[in-house]
Amino acid sequence: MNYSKSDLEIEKKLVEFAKSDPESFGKLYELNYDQIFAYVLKRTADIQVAQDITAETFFKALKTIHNFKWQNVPFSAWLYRIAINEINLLHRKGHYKPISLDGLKDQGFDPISVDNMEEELISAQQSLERHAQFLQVQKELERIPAKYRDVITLRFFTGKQISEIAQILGKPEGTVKSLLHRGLEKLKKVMSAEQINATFSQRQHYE
Amino acid sequence: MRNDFDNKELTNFLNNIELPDVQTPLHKMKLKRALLNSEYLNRKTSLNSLKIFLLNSSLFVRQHAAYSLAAITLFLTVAALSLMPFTSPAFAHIVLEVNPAMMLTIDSRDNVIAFESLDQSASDIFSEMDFRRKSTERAIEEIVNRLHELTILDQNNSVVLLIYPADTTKIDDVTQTLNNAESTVSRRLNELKAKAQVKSFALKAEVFAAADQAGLMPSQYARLLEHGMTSENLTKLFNQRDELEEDRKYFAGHFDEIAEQITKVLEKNVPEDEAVLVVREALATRRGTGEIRKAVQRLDTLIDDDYTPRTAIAQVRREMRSRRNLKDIDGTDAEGKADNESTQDVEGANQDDADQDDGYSPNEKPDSQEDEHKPSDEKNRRNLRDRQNERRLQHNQRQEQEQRNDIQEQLDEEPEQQDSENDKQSLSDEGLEHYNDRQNLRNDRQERRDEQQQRRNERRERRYNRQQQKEETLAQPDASLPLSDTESSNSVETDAEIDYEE
Repeated sequence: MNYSKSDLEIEKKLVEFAKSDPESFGKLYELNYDQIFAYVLKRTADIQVAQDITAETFFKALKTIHNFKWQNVPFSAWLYRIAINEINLLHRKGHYKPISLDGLKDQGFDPISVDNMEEELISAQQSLERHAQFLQVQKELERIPAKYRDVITLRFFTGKQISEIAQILGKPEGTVKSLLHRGLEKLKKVMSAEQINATFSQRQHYE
Repeated sequence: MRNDFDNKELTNFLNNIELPDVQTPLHKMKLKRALLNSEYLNRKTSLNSLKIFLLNSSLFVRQHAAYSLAAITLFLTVAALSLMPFTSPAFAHIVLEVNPAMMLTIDSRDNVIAFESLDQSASDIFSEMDFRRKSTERAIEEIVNRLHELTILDQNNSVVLLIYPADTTKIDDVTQTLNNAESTVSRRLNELKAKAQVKSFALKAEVFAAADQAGLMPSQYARLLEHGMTSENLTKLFNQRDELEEDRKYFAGHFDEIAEQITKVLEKNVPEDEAVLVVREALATRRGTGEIRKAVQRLDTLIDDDYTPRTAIAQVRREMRSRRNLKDIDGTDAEGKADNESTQDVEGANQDDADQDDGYSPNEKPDSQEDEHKPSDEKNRRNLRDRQNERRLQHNQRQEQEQRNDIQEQLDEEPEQQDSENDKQSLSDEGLEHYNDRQNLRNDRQERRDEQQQRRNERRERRYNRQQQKEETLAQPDASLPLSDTESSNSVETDAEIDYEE
């Protein structure tokens, strides 16, 4: 999504309001939830983990938005960065526990009721499982370093431009390009010949 | 199998992967509601923030119960232990004396850490007030206010403010604190339109300790501080009570008089240490502060008679010592505990003591005093001192029994009772005493003159002999070498003698 100057101005005002007005934060949430959830899902390939990480991302954003300084970068870039950190946390620990949200649950709120969510979760999981090719590539991506995974996922699975990835990661575009190139090299190396053939035969089958 | 799988193809492949488009609207909606509700609660009251904090804490405890409990307990224990003994260390002590006197102990941040009443009235007035943890300025203001309420400040015309450093502080560091305290008192007095005058002093801790040991309050020695008396001499003066074994209350009760007389002595340009020695000599006569007054009057007279301050003070001290000797004789006879021999020892010892501190420089000291009155041996001297101490102790006891009346009154009564007795006992009469003093002085001078005359005669005789020897030597030219030796040595001796005579 490319932001025009006016879009950025509007978002900037929205962020300023959100620092003191929960409703404004709600608008930011509506604008960004889908893309953050989609990104996290493509990085984790797990509906439930993706929901937890997305919830944790927005909760942390809400808690620390008063410290947020506008730097002419879309608000979503900041959300992506929080999400990336949460995903890295998941990879470091091997499991994910949304700590902040647990507090909310104990407080009496139930943002994700198992009873109500079960059907949606099953449906989403089934939808995900239908994309075997994606799941296979995503599995291979887990074998390369995280810095390459982030760049490849953002570039190919969420359709971000190099400039947007640079804003999200807070790195120069040249660095992002370099990371992307090396990441593809790494991915190519980890993918076995059978996997490549299978991938291509699968591709030819789809074609 | 394909081996030419390059980056471009991989890129194309990745671009063409069919991506899942999973939507979870229910999750989105519920999460939003939860977030906004939580945000609303967070900002509504601080109590809710506390709740969330506590809930987070409880979660933490749940996850790491054992570790967190141990860590928290350890932290609290260490914090409690480390905080308890390290209360702020004392920086200085401020004594504020009006008529009640009190002391504030303050820390380096100018906060009061202790309050102490230095007399009963202060204890009564300030028993219900707590100055701890208040700033020094605030505490002083409250003290002044309280004193003003009780109209104490109107009755007194001076507030003595004294500061002395704590153990780890230097006196230079507390002067600023003293200035601040003084300005606070002055300002508050001004606001209350009280007429009291503020006098402020900074003292070394050891001087204050010596004064306290002697039972003295700052206002009693403020006069000396105003005169700029050094800490060393002040300490010496305060220590007189202990050295002379004076009663604490008696010494403190008469110190105003002592301070006044010392000030007069100092105004005569007498060195401070000499003034302190005069007080010591006067107190040692056991005749009360009247002896100091007499000494000061005598000093005035001598200085008027063109004596230098130094020689005048030496003369006054010599006179006091002679009076003290006479008093020793009186005391010995009255008690019947000592014979003539011991009396001679007393005189000898007193003279010996006096020689050590009589203010004479070696050149000034008459030759006749050098070998005179020397104690026969160490044992006699020790015995003598023991007897003197015993007598002093008895004297103090007598003073306490007789309500510390002036000794002069006692001496006045004794001649009436023993009028028919011998001359020695009648020496205690004051008129005769002065006569004896003068007589002693005359005798001393005469003795000195005789000795000087005798020495002159001896020198003349030696000179005559040398002249004779020279003439004989000149008549014998072969003995030149021994002659020159003798001549040179004689010439040196002659020069020395001439210097001495000059």
